[in-house]
Amino acid sequence: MRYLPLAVAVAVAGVACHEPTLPPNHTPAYAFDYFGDVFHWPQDRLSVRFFADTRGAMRTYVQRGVNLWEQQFLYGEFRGVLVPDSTHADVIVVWADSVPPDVPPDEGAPIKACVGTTTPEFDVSGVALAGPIHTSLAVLMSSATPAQLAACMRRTVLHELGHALGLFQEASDSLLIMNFTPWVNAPADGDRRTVEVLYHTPPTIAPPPR
Amino acid sequence: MKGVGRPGRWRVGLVCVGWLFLSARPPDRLSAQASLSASLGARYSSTLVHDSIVSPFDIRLGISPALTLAVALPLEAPWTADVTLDASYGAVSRHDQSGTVAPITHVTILTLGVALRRDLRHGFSASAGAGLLAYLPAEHIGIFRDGGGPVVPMGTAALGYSPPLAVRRGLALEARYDLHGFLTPALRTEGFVNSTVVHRVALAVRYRLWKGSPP
Repeated sequence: MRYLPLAVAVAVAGVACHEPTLPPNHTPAYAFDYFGDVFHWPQDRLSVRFFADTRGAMRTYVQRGVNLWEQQFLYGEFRGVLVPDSTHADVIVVWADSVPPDVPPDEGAPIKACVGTTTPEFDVSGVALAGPIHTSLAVLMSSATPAQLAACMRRTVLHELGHALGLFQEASDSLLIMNFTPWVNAPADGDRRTVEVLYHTPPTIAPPPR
Repeated sequence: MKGVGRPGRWRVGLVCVGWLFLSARPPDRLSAQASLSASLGARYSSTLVHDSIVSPFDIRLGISPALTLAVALPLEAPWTADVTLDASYGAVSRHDQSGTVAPITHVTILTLGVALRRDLRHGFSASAGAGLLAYLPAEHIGIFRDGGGPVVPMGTAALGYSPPLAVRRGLALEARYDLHGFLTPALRTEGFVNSTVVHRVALAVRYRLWKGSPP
């Protein structure tokens, strides 16, 4: 009985001496700079405010995109929130022309039935954004069904939100969401590693004034 | 949601055992000797995760309040068995080398333990024991994206001091140390293989809430 606490202490010390944690590999899968400059939303601008076109399924797509991108981060680097007013948004996502029907997306083979554009506007200094990042989604002329078009819009919104987060380059790997044409439904491991490194790289482009 | 089912059951089990422990009425002979005490204090935890992406950083739990409920069952003098339920709550955040602190979420840490305590001279007492520990995050985000991870074993040691004047009021000062391994499912997905050994130190004031009368 007398030596029991000592025995417990020795056992506890044994647990403490086990192998230390090794950091994992964080090599990015593709480049993210904008002609040598780096942009990401700084800590003091979180949560980033997203406005989504109120027509059709855009809010659903943007909310899903924000959630999926948030889930790529482990250490509190990024948070986003949908806002109802575009005048108080950091990122504005709208339909470029027609509004596709709000139907459940087709989960089959992907069809390139839409296209997205994200445009950062720089101020005169060239090292700061002048205003919100604008993203627009357009329907391409194709024989895609409404469900195939919805699937295209869903993954293209996710891809464009990647640009709005600061991933300004396209990936060459077709299994990544940031491939020039997004074929997958979610960010892959390479996207996660790349956006992680981006958010730990000191930015050279300042966010727009609020 | 992988890896959530089994730890979830463990966590429910831990909470149930803790509730039973708090609500169960001990047998008359035991209750005549047992005592119930509560302690409140502050707890420091060592780094939960150390990682390096471009530059090194740590994930830490800030100094957090700690509440402990303990049932003491006297054994052969000068020994006492303590059954403890401990809860602490704090903010988990990333600390960069530049000094930036980025909040991640809040977490409650529950432990259920047993310890053997020996009364020493001059009002001091020392104890050592073991138990189970669970992280209960407020949100499923960041390192807790896929939950707080499994219930893990922990080891604990404590030193208590009760000045003569405080003995009658059932008051004591307590320094508690414990350690456990920390690894969440999200960290495992990220590529972490081994758990981080987390050391925790708490300073608390213990107050005896109830004491059974001698038979």
